[in-house]
Amino acid sequence: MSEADKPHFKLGKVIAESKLSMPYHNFEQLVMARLKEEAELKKSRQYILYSILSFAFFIVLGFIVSTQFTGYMPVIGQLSQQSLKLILQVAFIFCILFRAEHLIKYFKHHKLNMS
Amino acid sequence: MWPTLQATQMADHNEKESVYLRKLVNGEEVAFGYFIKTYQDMAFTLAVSIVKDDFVAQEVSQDAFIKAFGAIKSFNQQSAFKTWFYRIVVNEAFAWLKRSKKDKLLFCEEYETDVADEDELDLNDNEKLEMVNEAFKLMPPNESLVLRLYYLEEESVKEVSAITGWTEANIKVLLHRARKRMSTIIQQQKKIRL
Repeated sequence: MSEADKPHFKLGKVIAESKLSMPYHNFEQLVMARLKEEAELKKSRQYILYSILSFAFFIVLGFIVSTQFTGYMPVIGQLSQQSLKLILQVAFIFCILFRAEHLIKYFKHHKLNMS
Repeated sequence: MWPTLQATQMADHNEKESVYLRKLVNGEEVAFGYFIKTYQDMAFTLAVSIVKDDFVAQEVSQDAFIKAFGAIKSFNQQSAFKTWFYRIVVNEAFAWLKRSKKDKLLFCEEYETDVADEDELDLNDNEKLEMVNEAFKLMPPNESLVLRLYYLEEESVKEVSAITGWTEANIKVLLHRARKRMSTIIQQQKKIRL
């Protein structure tokens, strides 16, 4: 079928004028709102992923530091209650120190958005 | 030879679009508005051709815009923006059909009957338009889609192929079937009205 075939179908002219209009007049605002929502969601997802990764990093770091304090390299099954506590404490302190700034920024941003 | 008015308008449109495309890549809000305003009606028309429901078509169009804007950096400009965007709309609409398991022929009657000629129908323009839009709702999604793209957007078979991802031979067959089906449905509608 060639381009010249188009006029043979007389209904083609009617179809050519059958373009529908978007019946939802606030469509543009809806898309813009969803775009902002998606951007927020993406940021939140990135933040959560970043937090989990950094938390994991500090746990490992805490583990290494604690083994240095106790003077031996325990395997997971042989960890005493005390060294476990120490690992968690060190990791927690590191997390608080290094993530505090990010957390403040994050909550500030959300508070601004909510207001 | 002087360029025709249509060619000049087309060139202006392309130039304007490439400016807005750059703005879109930079995330400027004004560009989002331009593309939504320019393509919302056609996105809705294509989506309705496939999903056959106004509200769902609006949702599909929204999803298509979000997806397109999110992936704009991957648009390599080898094809026109509208070809790339319409393909997203078509994919989104068919994905919705698949999810809702409505991917079946909505019009299963034998259509290899007498093909009505428009002149025999003796209808005014508004009636014809109304009947055509009604007929689109009764046609299978793939047929109504190619018919819309081919006549409404005046795309060539090659461009329709680029938008749908179907082969050119397949589109020619679909167009042939769709025209027959459209004529038959309209003839039947007219009989019902009489």
